[in-house]
Amino acid sequence: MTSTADRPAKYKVVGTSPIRPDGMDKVTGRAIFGDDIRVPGVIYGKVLRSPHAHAKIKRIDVSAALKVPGVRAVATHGDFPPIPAAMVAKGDAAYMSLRDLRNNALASDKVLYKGHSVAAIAADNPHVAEEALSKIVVEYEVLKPVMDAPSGLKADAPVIHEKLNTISFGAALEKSHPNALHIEMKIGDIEQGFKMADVIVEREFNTRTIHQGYIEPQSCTVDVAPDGSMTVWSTTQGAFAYRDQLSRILQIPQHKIKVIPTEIGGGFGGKEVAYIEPAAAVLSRKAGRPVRIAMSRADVLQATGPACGSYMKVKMGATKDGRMVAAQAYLAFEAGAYPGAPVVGATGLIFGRYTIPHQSIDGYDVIVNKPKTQPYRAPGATQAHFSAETVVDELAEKIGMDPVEFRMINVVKEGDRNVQGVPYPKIGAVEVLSAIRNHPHYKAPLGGPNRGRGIALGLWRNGGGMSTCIITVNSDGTVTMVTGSPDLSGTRTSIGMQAAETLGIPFEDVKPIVGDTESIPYTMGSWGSSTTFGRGYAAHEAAVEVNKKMAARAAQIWGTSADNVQFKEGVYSHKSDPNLKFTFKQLAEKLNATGGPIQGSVVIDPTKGVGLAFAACIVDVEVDTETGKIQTPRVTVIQDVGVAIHHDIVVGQMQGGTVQALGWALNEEYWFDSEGRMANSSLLDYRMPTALDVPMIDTMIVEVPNPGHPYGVRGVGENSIVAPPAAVANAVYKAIGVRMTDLPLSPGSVLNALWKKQGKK
Amino acid sequence: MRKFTGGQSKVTVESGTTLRDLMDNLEKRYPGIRDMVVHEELVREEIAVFVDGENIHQGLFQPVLENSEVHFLPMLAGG
Repeated sequence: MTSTADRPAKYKVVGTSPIRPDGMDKVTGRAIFGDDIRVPGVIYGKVLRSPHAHAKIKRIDVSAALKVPGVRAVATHGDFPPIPAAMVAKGDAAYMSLRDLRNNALASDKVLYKGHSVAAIAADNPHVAEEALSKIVVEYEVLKPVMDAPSGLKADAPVIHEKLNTISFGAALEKSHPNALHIEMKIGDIEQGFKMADVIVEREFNTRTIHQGYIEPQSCTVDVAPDGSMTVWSTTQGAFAYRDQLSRILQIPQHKIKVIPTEIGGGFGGKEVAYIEPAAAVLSRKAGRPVRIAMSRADVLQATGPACGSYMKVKMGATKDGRMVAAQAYLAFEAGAYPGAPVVGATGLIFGRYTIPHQSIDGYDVIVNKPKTQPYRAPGATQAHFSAETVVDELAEKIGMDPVEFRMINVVKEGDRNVQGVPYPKIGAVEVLSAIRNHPHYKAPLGGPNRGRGIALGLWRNGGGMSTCIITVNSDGTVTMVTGSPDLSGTRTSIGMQAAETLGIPFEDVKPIVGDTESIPYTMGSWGSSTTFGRGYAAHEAAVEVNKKMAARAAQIWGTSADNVQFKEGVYSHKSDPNLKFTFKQLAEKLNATGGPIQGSVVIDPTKGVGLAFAACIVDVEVDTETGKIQTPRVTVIQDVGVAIHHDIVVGQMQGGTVQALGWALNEEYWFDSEGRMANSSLLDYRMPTALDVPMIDTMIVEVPNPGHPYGVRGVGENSIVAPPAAVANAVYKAIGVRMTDLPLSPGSVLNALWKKQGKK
Repeated sequence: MRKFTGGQSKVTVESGTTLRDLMDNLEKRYPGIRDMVVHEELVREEIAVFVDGENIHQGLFQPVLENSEVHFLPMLAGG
């Protein structure tokens, strides 16, 4: 692993790889995950789910279920209070209106996908709950399902929502069809642009529904007290988001809901909305007992929020000297049962890596009878890049130019403007492309038949969001730091490291804690590549506040003004008297006797530094032309991370995202039968890569510091998933001369493409 | 929003001193456009506002300068 930037010598903590404070518990089984919560008196909830992809609910009869001994409560949609009309999405659940989220938690008058929750039972033990579920009678009127975006856009497509809720996105998207919302972005004159082009490439693409594949299923325990207040233990990426969703769905004041995020076994965007908590809360209220609901793997695959399938058409034109002049895209993304596919992000970023004067992008958010889609690590970007980056590669080939050099001619730089007119800040696109060009992998001999090498460049953003941090100085010079975002990937460590750096103390003297919703002010969840950036920013600011207060205390002790105290490398010293100085630890020992403990508390929503970052992938493939199987003997991921706070954690993020992308490219897809029911809802049949399937992934960290962050951080968690599928497709073309336009590149699809090329049937 | 501006994606208006002033001035010239961004005197949650390159969060109280560049974008989420 190498880095292209020189690290400033002043950093003592940032850039190192200290032991994670949560690591020992996680590798020894001591860590408390959602399913480990044990609350006295708990009873067990089970959910009845729809067997149909699309049906009206004519009648639900729970009378027989209630008679089963041991059943304590039953919940249906009617147990939710009425919701005021204009329930728009909060930023934390940007892809789903809260009314739709409520109807998703327990179906109202229609079921919209197989697995849609219809009713829930709480009983003394899970077996009684299962038995009682089987006694609930539901009468359905089965309807024809819509199973992909093109079908949903047909004039005669079954209408899924008689009254489509457009309020959530009405300002950005417009209803264009009973099943669809539309967004468009344009600059220049697309017709004129294509007239300028010497070479034009146009292709159609399809991707399938896939799942984030987090190893830990959703699990929650909800305890509603007699006064209506509740405690919720949940595996969530955002405790405050869940609190606010529950507050609005159940019409309970926020201060009566305490959400305690448990340790989390993966999220990737799939744990941003509450699926089982609303029903568990209703059951607990009715039963007067805490209720635990845990999803099975089949439930997770069928009834949470997978990444969307898509249909795309991309057309791009370039001059023979390598300038991209025109780019057009039609993107139809499957939203699932409710509006909110990541088509907005996709339309904004599909061509965003390049300066192209004429662009026209149409995005469609199409309702289909599948579970409502949710973010999957750079939502919408992987699909968009798969289409655009393969077209870019084909353009380069037709022009006769090296794919890196072609991209280098057109890549965006600071000050260029994107399709929405926003200027790019300081970015590392050129540096990432240069890193590809100079990497040993790019020029290494391939060797062997049916081998090819492909590259792709990816663009994603890092978010900011409401960020809070509380730092308390203990009397022995150690520090307790509370942050409000769950730790998916080592972020409590990277946030704590930034606090330690600012305080000038070793990281080992910082205890980073993930707080619940009563221990810290509102904090955005862990998504959008925002946690190390935004919450780390808050930790830095809280540490600055601590330093000021510590300096003031030193001044008090020395009988001088705070202006006479300076802080450098963890030491407070008197500017005029070199004999007067305290280390952080020495000063901390005096706090209780000189005025009490010191605390720094910050609430910020970073405005600067929220922006964009680039990553790239080089992939070697070997295609077995007898079976169609694709091996990936060598993979390199290159990413501009701004500044790597914890080196090894950053490498882990890069490798993890790449593995997920390889699964997306080669194996993963939902299979549906003719009735719209998922047919492979187990990890045996929904094939994710294991350690045996992927090579050791080489990583190269590029550091173009983000000028908008105290330590130069850019978000790193999502970007590495964006480029690899396109890189794999480009490599397959080099290997066997076939342009693959559908994901996954399964053995069957590769063989079909080869046979078509060979003229075989 | 372009349906209110006759298809223009970029317009120039007097800024006033705050985003509220700017929105009021936009509404005077392009009636109906304010409701696309503002709901119950708050910036809609699904809209991100950039003022001179910064993703602002003070809503209608955000100061703007005479030559400020203001962008209204759909909010993105992440995973």
